Amino acid sequence: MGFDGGVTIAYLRFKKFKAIWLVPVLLILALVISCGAAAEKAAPAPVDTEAIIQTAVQQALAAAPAASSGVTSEEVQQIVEAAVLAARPGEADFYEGKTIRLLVGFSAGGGYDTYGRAIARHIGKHIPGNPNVIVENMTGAGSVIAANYIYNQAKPDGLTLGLWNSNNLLIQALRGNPGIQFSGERYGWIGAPSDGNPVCGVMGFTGLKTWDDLVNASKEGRELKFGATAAFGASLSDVPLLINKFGGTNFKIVSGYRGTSKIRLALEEKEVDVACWGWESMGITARHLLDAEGDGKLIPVAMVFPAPGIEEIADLPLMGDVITDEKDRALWDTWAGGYKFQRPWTTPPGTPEVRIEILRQAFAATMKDPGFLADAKKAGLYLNPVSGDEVVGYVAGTLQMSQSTCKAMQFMVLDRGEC
Amino acid sequence: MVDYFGAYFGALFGGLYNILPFSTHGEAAFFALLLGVAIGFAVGILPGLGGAVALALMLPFTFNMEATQAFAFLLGANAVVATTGDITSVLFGVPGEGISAAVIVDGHPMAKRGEAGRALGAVLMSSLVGAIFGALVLALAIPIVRPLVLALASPEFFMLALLGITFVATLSGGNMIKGLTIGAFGLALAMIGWDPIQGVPRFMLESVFGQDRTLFLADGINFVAITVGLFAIPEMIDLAVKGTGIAERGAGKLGGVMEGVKDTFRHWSLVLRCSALGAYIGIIPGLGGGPAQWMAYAHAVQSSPNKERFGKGAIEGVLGPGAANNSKEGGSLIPTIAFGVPGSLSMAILLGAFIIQGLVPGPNMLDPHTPIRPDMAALGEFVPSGLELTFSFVWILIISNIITVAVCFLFLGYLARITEVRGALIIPFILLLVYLGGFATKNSPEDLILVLVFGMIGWLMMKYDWPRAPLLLGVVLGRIAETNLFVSTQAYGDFAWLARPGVIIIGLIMLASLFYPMFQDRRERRRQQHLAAMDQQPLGQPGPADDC
Repeated sequence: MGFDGGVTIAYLRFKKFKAIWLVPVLLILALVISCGAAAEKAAPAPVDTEAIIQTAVQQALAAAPAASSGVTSEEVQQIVEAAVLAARPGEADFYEGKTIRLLVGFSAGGGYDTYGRAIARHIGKHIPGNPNVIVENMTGAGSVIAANYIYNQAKPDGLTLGLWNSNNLLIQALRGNPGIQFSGERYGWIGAPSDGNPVCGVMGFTGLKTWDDLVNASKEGRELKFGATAAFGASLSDVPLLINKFGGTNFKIVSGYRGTSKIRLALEEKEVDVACWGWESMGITARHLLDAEGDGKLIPVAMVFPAPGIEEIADLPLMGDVITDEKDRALWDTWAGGYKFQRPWTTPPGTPEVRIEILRQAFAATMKDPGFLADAKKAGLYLNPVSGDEVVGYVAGTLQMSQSTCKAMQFMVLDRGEC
Repeated sequence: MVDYFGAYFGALFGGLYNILPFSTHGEAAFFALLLGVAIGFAVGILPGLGGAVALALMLPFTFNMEATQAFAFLLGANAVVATTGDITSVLFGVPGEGISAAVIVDGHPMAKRGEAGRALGAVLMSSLVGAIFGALVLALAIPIVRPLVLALASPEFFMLALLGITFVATLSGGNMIKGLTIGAFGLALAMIGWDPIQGVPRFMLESVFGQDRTLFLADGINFVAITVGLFAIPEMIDLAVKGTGIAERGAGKLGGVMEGVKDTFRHWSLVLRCSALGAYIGIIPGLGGGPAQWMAYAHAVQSSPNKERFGKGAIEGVLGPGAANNSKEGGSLIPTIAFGVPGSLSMAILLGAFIIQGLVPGPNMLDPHTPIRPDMAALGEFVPSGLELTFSFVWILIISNIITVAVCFLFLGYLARITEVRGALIIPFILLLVYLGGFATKNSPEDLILVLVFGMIGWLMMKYDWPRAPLLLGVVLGRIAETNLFVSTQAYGDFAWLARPGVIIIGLIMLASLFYPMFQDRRERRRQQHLAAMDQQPLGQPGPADDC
């Protein structure tokens, strides 16, 4: 049984198949090449602190002529020196020769991945030390697996970053998913490339043309079918769910589609009548429906936030306006707050503040980088950057939820949690 | 009318000219095509690393390319992964790609029998025929595709998934009860994870192993981990025990390759039918790449007069899936081009390339007169017309497959000889590929345990002569069936969806395909019972390594 004897020598005796030698040879060759490439990149360029300080002083002096402010050049020198050294303890060159890993919670080629890779291509040159940035996909469970990994397992050294669906924060607040093993306020938040604005579109064949038409038809008993992916956790299903609850409509949610591309097809097949998802995606992927005429046209009818800059939807009514009760409106706004930022970058809890700050500045600088902007334009990515500080505020707004709010919104997660 | 045909053929040749190195832009496109083919070649051979992942990584490099060049690069890679993936399946019993798993069932036993050359020759030739067929379907179907796709809504998808599961029975090469049982087990496995509609955890054993440790099952059980576990691990155990090379008998002369090529044309009708099947399944968005190969395999079994040979190295079982998983590529481009509705993950990424190029899928891709990017054309840049670009797609599929198959044939002799290398040398290498494949799909270490568990299950199934292929089909189709049934009942009413004509037609085909082999089987079994009763092996004794 098992492997026959003559272990080592027999292994080397290739009687019939000479070409197998190619395998180890090629492997070694590949190893040597990659090592060479790595060594080239790893060679550190010396940093001259003195030179940095001198340039900074000169710049400061040039900007604020000593005569007008009454500050001597020595004083300026001291201040700048102190500032540079304070930030210095290994931080300025921490990223030098290092590699940052961005873990994307969705598969390669999707929206999250496309945004993540586009930013990752450019952010390295805005971080002092110009680290390599690589993107890995850790998929599963609506990106909860990646979020859990970043929270519980990733080293908080500022070299591992996470990109996962922040809609999970609301589900965390509502205790709607036992798989969520994190607490959103403890992540480091780097920033987000855009906000989101869910828009509802209705098909021409329904004969309905406005949001009011939809609401009134539903109230009069007509069944309007909304296409959705899952039963909660995406605007596709959340919008009709919330409007039904707070706006007195009776929209029918048809869930189970595998992505918006299937829903677009279902709209064309007249399987469903309406669908609500982010304009940043709808405006591009459903373009042929938006541009169609007659029965096959997708008519945008309402949105979540005002969109003064976007001509095509600028005049649409806000969905929230059908909610008359003030308390209900507040609940709606809590939900909508989750769309103030989309696809944010995070660091594990406990990452040093200085590094978070470096990453935030680099993120903000990337959002203005002409090379990045050109890539984003080509890929059709919608941008409206949200800073790390702003994200922190929105996250707190979602998570600091009173018990009564949590109870009142339990219907969104099948009354699963205990608040 | 004459005008249209003139423009049609003009675009047909324009599309070819644009990717051949006779002009500056053609040169760039041809070079990109070669580069893409080289990448696709490697990705196809390596298990786990799928075509979709490769495309996603290649996508950023197309930012600065012109449209024809970008698609030559991407499509060239995507077109050949199924072809070279089949090679790994035949030689090692490890699927080089998820979409070449069905080739293992009969291709690997052939390799073990010393007929690796013949199996490779057959699978490469049928791949080429399939790819060209798929490309032709793409060329012809474009103008008439809209009604074809819109005729199928969620209820029909559900029925198609059921039809596939019914085929499971015939996959078992004679023993329908075993086949159905294993198929049902596959369906049960597909239920593992968060349910796709409400997110309720099902069968994840989270109370036993803890929330965090079972979360990797949330999206369903990893299909690739199951496949490599089920097929490759038992083969490796077997190989280690026997202490020979993969080929139990010495491999035949290189002539085996030509034999395989001839087999393709000997069974030309089967190859063409499976190509058509693959192309049509490709056209339907929503079934994805997995089912096409299995449906083709099922068809090969069903249309064969002696089903017992299947699973033990029947050449038809290699030709069918080999043709279908390539013709599917041409088919799945159709809904992507015509509606912007991708039929598979790879196509979804290709759609990203459309957006990067500023192209809108739809009728303008069929326009032979207007440049696809009028704004760029106005600047004096080279811009093909929509139809020209679409025909370039057709030619890219054909040319990249011809190149790949030609290159493969050059090295086929050496490739086939790998099966003669002693098991002890080849096992560590294959095990590395196996675990790499299991890990790489989701970067999840837990999936390695899954590989091991299914390796054990697979070994038991092999030992006790249970078919393994229906298990995979059950897993692949389980979620498709479930979500589409759910949508059907919600969108059309609890039972009203049953009255749709498409549902009734598919239902009748299903019943026929279920009962016809049953009758046939019974007749045959009765006849053979007298003859075969004598030399049946007692259960539990390791029989010859075979499956299905």
